[in-house]
Amino acid sequence: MARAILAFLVTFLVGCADLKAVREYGALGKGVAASFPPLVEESTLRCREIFEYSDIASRRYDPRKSSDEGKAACEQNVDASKAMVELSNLVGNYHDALIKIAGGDVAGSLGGDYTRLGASIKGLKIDGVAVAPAAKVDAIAAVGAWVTKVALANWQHREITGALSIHREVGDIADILVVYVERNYGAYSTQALRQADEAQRAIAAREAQCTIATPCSDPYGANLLRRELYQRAEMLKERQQLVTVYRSATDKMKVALATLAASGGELKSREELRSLWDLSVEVRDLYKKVAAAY
Amino acid sequence: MPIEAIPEFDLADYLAGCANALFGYRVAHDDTLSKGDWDALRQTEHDLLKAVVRLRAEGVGRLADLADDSKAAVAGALDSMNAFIKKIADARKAIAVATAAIGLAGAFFAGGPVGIVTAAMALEEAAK
Repeated sequence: MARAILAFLVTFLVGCADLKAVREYGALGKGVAASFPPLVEESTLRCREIFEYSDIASRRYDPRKSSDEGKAACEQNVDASKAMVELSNLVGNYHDALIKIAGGDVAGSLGGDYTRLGASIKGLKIDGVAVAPAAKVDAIAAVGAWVTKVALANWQHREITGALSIHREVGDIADILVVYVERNYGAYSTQALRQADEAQRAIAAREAQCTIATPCSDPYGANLLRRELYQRAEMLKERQQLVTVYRSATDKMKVALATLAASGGELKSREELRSLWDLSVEVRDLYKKVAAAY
Repeated sequence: MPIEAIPEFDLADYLAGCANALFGYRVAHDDTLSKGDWDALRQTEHDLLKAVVRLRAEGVGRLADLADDSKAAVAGALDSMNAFIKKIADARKAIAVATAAIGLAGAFFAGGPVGIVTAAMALEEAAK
């Protein structure tokens, strides 16, 4: 009997994916998904700033008017980007669920509950006499816990394999989010940077026309504006790097998922041996318990 | 259509360049442009900027449409994984209720009123 059970379990466990690798991949994917919403917010911020900065170097600058125009115009970006945030959340939730179902003790997680149930049955007495013999209760609880563990491990394996099998679809969504980051977030950043560069050039050209005979009306103000534009340009250059960072993190995530999906049916040899050893110990203990009780 | 080749994004980038050129001219000639010319240039520049926002939003809409099939597949996998997680929680709850119910039966046969109340409360808690 024990041999038959062992043979069944060996066959079934050899097909399990490396759970640690699945969890590590899940954490990577969750991190990439979490980094997306701030980029969407920043994209709208850049969009508004482009309107806000359009008159900053002018005598006719009206901060409230520029700000209101920016808010109204960029509302379209807020609305359109909601669908992208939804997609990113979906990918984040997928990875979160993957981490949960690949938990190391998911299969054996009900063992403690069976022990408590067994203890409760053993404690049940009528007129001071135990309703069920302790050894039998222990054996039944142990068998129940073990059967549940096997069923859950089997189900866990199916779920992980199923989740990994849609790696192409997850990759497609990841690619779409990358295109958003490049062509929306990146495009607004580039546009804002070009605007800052253009303003610096234009102000410099304007200042170059100032002479001692015809001085600029407010060199201090002009210099403050140049300083602000310079700092803004530097900040925007830094933020643009995020496009590359996001793409590279997504590429890494896709490669990891494809690799995991491809090797999803194999255990690393050391882990496989450990599982088989644990399994043989479990079956031996179980066998002893049942033999002692009956 | 490949996701990299969405024409709205290309057109938006082109118009953004045009708006920026107008912006540069307006800033450089801020002191010399008449109010009428300045206003007209600003209006054109802002019309272009608004067109850029609209085109990029349309491009994002196209991206969202392209994701429809993949989105359904990932949502299906997510539902399945969540069902698995819920089943484990349900099984845990069922065992906890059974444990508490046996506890209540034990307390009932033992006959202690305090024990019965405590066990009944434990059962109620497990069933929540």
